[in-house]
Amino acid sequence: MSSPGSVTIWLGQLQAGDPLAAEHLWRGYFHKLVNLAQQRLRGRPPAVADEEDVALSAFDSFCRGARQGQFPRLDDRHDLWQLLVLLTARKVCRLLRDERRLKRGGGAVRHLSALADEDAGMAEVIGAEPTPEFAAEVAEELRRRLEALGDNELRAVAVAKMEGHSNAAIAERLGVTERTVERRLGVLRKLWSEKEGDS
Amino acid sequence: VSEASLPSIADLPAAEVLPVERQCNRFEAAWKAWREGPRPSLEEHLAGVGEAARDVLLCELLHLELVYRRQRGEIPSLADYVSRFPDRERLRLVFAGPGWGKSGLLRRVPP
Repeated sequence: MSSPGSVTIWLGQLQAGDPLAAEHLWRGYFHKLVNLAQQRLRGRPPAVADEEDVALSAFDSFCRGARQGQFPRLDDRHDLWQLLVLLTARKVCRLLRDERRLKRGGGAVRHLSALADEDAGMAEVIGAEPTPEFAAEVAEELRRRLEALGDNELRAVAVAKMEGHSNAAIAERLGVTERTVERRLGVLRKLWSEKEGDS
Repeated sequence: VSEASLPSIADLPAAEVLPVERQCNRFEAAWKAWREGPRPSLEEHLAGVGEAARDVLLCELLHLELVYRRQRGEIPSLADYVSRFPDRERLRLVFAGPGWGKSGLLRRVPP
């Protein structure tokens, strides 16, 4: 992406009824993000846990899919990538805010102005282009969230969805109904959103 | 009539989500294994979750049951359920809701 683009701009364009422009921004941003995250994951020491292998596998196969034209759509209400990017950005935002507050010697009181600054902070963190650091945070966040699921059936749906497969294809692969896949995606979104403040 | 009117897993507190998910998985596994004899029981699978989650669970279990009955060549009707679950309007919504996918679910509202 060139010019000041960000998740807030994608979402703004989507809300303004310009889904094609938002899709274009998201696609460009997303490809760069995943490629950067994959490079960062490859630079890690050998995996010590199965969950890490799962995250690596998700990135590997998703990157292959992305090169073949598969990528998450902005209008997919179940897309986990958008959620992951937003959750990671909020988390980084909070960390930066806390660091700045500590440097200023501030206390624990959270001013209203801090809330108002959150949108601007999100745009700052996500930026016009994904940075390697932010991509690494997204990759790490994915690894943590897959590991924390502790449920192989939910994990299988999360990985397959993030690899870009359709709900119908996931249902067929897992031998369950499409409704079950949709429900599990709802569960994942719920759990990931609710745990945002904990992780 | 909109599926959005149905209670959704998104409306539940996080603590209620996994118990609902587990019951749905058990129910689906029971239907996949069923060949003859007593069918998997909706009522039995409704137990084990809190009151707040029961409406969501009923809708999810009923969706599953309709899929598997349909796959076995049956034509489920509302009458099969109204005597067991008094919320007729909710049952109608599950029967009529969109998003049935390609798994052999009913699309029409039964008489």
